[in-house]
Amino acid sequence: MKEKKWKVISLFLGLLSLLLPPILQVKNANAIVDNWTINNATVYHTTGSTSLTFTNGYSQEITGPITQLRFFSTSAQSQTIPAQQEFSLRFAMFIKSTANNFAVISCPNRSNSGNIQVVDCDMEIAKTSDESFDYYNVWFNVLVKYNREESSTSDLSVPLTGVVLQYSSGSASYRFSQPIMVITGKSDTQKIIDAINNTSSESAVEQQNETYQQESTDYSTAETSTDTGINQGQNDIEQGGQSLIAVITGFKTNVLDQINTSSTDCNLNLGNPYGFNMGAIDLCYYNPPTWLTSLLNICASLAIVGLALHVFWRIINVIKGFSK
Amino acid sequence: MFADLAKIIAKGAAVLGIIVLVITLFSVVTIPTPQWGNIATSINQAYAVIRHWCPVATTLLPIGIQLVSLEIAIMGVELAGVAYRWVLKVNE
Repeated sequence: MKEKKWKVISLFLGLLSLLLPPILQVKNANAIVDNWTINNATVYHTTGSTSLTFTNGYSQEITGPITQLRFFSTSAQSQTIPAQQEFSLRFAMFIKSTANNFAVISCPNRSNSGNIQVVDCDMEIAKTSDESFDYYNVWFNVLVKYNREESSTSDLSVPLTGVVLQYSSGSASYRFSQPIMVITGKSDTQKIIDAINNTSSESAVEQQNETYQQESTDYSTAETSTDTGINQGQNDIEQGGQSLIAVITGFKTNVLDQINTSSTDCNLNLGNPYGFNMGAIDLCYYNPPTWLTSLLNICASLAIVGLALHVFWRIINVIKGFSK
Repeated sequence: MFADLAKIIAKGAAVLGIIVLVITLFSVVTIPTPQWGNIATSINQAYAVIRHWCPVATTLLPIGIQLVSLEIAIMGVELAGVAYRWVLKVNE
């Protein structure tokens, strides 16, 4: 009788402590932002591509993929990329072209490269102009799927090739910009992050524009003539290609995966933007109230104690049974 | 005496037959291969959530698994004891 009692109690408490967290996590999936914990492991990297080429006189195709894709924790250790997950990348590109130049800009091809598949892509284009030049601020939102059955800790290559820029005439140069965390609305997690960064993203865009305006003056001298402008443009492209950074802005599914949750706040961390320390928001966990965590911890402890007592009684009874 | 011995042998053979049958069933019947990747991901996700909500549960989980294993082992021993007694019980 004693052993059955301990068995029932420990099973109940054990199941409570194991099943309640996932149930409550799902239940609180749309909880207020303040109660979320961010996993600030992120993905970003540069492409080392210098293979941007003119496919005809006035169009250029980006042929260099993002060569590395890594998850980084706060300790800068490479993390596991979950299997069979979709995640969204967002990256920006600034284009400078001679004024009144009709520009065609396309998304990356929906292609496969090994285990990576570009599922979807859309763009947001903002155009500003001055007397001599047009400035395009293009954001690419790319949904990528990692097709492997197993998760991976290796670097991945994302086939973001085939971004085509076409101009009717004149010269153009473009460069990839520092990414800004703006949410693509692909998942619940992202909506939450969006809410967090709603204001900071806008100010970041303004900052980017200012930065580009400053840098564009450096190019202006070389781009006064059309012929030299194209050459200079390609040089800029080659230089700019090295600063392409993509950020995984979140998983499409509300994945709570293998990445360690070391961070306890939801703040966006984009320090050291062109280096390896540029953390970004990735996953959120709902932060349960302290009393609930304590209660669940006590339940788990009692469950183990109960199970131990149950097994103890079982062993005693078995020994008694054999000694009869 | 001979009848008792024959009964024991018959019962022992029956028990051995049942054991062989169970082993054969497990080795012959092909269970469809599950999607291990998806299962592992789901388990990892559940584990991550539990670890976040109830860290003690994940800390004590290995002990719990060992206790459950012990419980299963005890059940096996009990079953073996029942079978042993049944085989040797001749005056029924």
